[in-house]
This record gives sequence, structure tokens and C-alpha cells, in this order.
Amino acid sequence: MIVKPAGEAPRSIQTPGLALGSSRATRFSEAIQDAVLPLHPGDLFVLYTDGFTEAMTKSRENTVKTGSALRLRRAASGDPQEVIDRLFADAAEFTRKAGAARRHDHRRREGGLSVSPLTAD
Amino acid sequence: MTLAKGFLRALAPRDESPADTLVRMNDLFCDNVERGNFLSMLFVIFDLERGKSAQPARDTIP
Repeated sequence: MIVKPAGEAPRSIQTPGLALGSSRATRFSEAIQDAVLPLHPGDLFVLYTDGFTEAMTKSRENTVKTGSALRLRRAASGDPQEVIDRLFADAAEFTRKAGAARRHDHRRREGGLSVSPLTAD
Repeated sequence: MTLAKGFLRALAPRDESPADTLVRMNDLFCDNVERGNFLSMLFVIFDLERGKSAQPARDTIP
């Protein structure tokens, strides 16, 4: 997902795909596609695993897309570590698994959750 | 996972598109890993010379 600095709606990257090893060549090559995404200064490029969005949907307050977009937009200010902390706090709130161990780098994994934010200069 | 990393190190320098690279990785994965195992992967190229853009292709768990 790409989050713009000026408050524009976050853009979710929706390329199709299949898991590696789940299907042989023909079906796999038909399912997977490239996408080109222009980046601009201040853009935040957030990579996250499906465990993250699944954790959010357990709240049943939002759909996956709406819930992710709202939370990412709210979390998009500040440096990458702040973004990580806010997203994991949201996940913990919705799954009621607060108190997970913290790692002070720009990539965190907790029980199937992983998020890596990158900021364009 | 170690095997997949080896596949990626071998294939990534070929300068193919992310999708083509993942198709070749899938071929190697299917040929060398026991059926029933799979992994998800996002492969992104950041082009810092021709402009700031990202070219991702994604394997995902359906």
C-alpha cells in the first residue's frame, strides 16, 4: 500500500498472484502480473503480510480494505518506527493480544504479522 | 526457505521482470520441494535511476 503525505487516500496495490509451489507453470504464469508504481518524495510504501489484515478483520467493525486503509492513513505520519508501532498497536487492540514483544528495528514480526514501511526521499 | 533464497539469488540478477522471475522460481520450487509446501513472496524492484518507481509482483496465499 502507498500512503501519500498530503492526506490523499492510500492506494492499495492489487496485483493477482498464487503462492509459490501451489500450482505448476501455466496456471501460475497466468495468475501473476507486474505493476509499475511511480513514487514521489514523502510517499510511504508499506509492505504487510496477510496476517495483519486478517487480524484486523477479527474486529468485524470494518471490511479488510476499509479497515486497513483507515488505519494506515491514521498511522502514516511520523517516521517508519512510529508507523510500525501504531499499526501493531491497532492490531493488538483488535485482536486483544496486547503486550507482544517489541523489536526496535524497521521490521517486526509477531504471530504471523509483519510490516515494513519505506519512505521515498 | 533457504532453498527459495538460493533460487532467488540465482534468478534475480537476470534482469527479468519480477513476474518472470517469480514464474521461474515457481518452476524450481515445484521441481525441488515436496508437494504440499508453498510460500508467499513479494518481489519489488526500486528503480532509482530512471525515476522513483516500484515494480512489484506478488505471490500470495489465496
